[in-house]
Amino acid sequence: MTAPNAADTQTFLDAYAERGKVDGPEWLASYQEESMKLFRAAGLPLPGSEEWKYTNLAGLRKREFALAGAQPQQITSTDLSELLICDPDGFLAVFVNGVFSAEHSRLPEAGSGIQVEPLSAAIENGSPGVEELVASGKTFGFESFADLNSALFHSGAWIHVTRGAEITEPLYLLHISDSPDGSLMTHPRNVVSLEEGARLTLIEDYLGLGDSAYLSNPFTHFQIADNAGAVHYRLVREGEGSFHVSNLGVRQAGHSSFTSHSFCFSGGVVRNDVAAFLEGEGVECTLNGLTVGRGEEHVDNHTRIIHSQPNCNSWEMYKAVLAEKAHGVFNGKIYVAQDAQKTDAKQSNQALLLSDTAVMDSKPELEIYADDVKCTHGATVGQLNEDGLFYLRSRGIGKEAARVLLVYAFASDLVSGIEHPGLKAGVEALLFEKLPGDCEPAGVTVGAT
Amino acid sequence: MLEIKELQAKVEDTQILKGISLQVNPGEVHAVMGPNGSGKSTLGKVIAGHEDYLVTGGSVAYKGKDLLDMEPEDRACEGVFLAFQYPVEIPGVGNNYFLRTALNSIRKYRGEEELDAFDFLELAREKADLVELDRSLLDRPVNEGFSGGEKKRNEVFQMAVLEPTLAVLDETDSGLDIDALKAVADGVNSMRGPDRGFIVITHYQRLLEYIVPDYVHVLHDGRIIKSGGKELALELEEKGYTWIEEEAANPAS
Repeated sequence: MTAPNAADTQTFLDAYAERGKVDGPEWLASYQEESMKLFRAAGLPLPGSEEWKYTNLAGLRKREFALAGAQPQQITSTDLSELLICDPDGFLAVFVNGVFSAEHSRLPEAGSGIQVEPLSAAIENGSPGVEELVASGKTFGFESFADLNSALFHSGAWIHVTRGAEITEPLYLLHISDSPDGSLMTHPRNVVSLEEGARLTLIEDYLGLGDSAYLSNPFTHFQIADNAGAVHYRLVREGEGSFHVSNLGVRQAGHSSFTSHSFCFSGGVVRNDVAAFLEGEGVECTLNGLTVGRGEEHVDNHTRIIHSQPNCNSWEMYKAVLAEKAHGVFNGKIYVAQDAQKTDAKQSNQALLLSDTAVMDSKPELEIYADDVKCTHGATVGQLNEDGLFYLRSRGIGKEAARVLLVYAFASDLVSGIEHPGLKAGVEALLFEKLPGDCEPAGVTVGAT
Repeated sequence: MLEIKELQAKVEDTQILKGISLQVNPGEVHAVMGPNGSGKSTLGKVIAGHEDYLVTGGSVAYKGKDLLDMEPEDRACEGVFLAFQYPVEIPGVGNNYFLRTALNSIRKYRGEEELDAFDFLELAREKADLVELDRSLLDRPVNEGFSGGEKKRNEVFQMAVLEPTLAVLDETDSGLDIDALKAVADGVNSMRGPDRGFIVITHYQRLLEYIVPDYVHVLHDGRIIKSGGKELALELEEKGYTWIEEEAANPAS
């Protein structure tokens, strides 16, 4: 049977056929084949479907995409330092058009408690658990693009932190897309696992060079064991013509913590799906997100937090600053199973519209089957506070500077949550760069200490 | 220094100021009193340049320039300061950072060197102590979670740091207990000098016991209906506003 929108999937089917079976173990080939079947059957999300109500993929459907070759792609090292958002004082793994660049990367040594290597190498070497962990990507309830990623991924990062290892330096994954002819697609797959009591800080950075079209379709999943903790930063700095569709899946065992800070600064059409499964008692999960959009950028954040065990906390704060004709979407689902008593879940979504033509669609979804829980949600969409603006101006601060200050103030609680000083300064600089008007120099801390 | 002539202003469709004339010279303190709704706060907002207030007639000259033609930030840079009746809370912006940005904008406008964070902090601490503002409030977001008294002290603190030439205090006394009132008044009095003018807008005479004005003006229905010396304030305190309103309505009696 042919899917209703078979024509739209043809470019992906062709790419799959052209690439052929990848070198590697048999399980990988069958996994990718199975995933391609799922993708072909479901097709791209249909316009008007509930989960894609506000995000139109018409622009994507019209295009043809090709995979980059498996050979390393070139960038020069001097370019690289300019491309990084902060000085990577820890470990660095660079991927160019989906292909790992050993030349630019700095991976931890064996025996340091953390193993980082290209996923393709981990698969080839048969790293313990790699088959099960890759396959677990199917269990997050992601569809379509996640299946496409499973079918077409070549590499990405394999990250494993051993029991009790506390990795203090952050691991920085830089994914660069360079698509001068407008046909590139990448499907990076990052598989992260933390054993009991392990600690990790991971920075995922998606950067586009140039304004032409490409599809960036990363899929990252975390498996976090008892008492382990991960801090996750995600930056989207894609090009103007890009389609960035990401999936982030998290499974947390008892008394573990996961904190994600997502920053979207640029991209053509951006869709981020996050699903966090809280599967042990005493789990803490924080999902924060900041979108800064202008021009005709479209950024859609879909999150699901699934509480299935008692005594877990989840906090979620997504904010958007939208200028010109930017369009923001937030859909936040919190599911509390019958057994998940004493759940404490807070969700907040706030948007600041800087023009009459910017649009925000916000939709909280709470599905609660337990009776002894605390679940709150709130959504606000507003414009810059005129009283605040006048107050600042009446003290001598110019109109544009006052606007920037107020926008910064709106976003500041998300920026101040960044623990890594270099990254924080980098994000502040990007924020000011993206905002119109007189900008403050990078690195200032506006917020209260 | 400030010359207001026949000033008329409206907000939305309501005419609030119906022809106010007032001259403030350097070194003078003018009290503007009047009942609620008489237009006192509007006068302050118009001087500071709030965009919701539309000037429909008259003129305001400040140091020989047309004040009404200037953006609010330029008025501030020229030395005009309004202490707000309701100071605005600005979550996410530290009080110190805000005020340093303001001071440096003003200094830049005047071609003076900007202060670095260290020098500013020294200045800010000195001025905070002057108005008895708790130093811990310097690190907090602007006015957020401040008590009513702390907000008003914060206004006077800002005035002390920015050192305006013309300061308009809009009901800075409202909501203050006596200690706070004294602290605020001390702050203002310490700034009185031959080059600086004040307009003190108040509903009650109480503040004027501590900030003794040179002139008192009574505002009623958008007009100044009586002007006099500081004794006028005492008379108002005794008799209320009604007698003046009646006197203004029937000048012959």
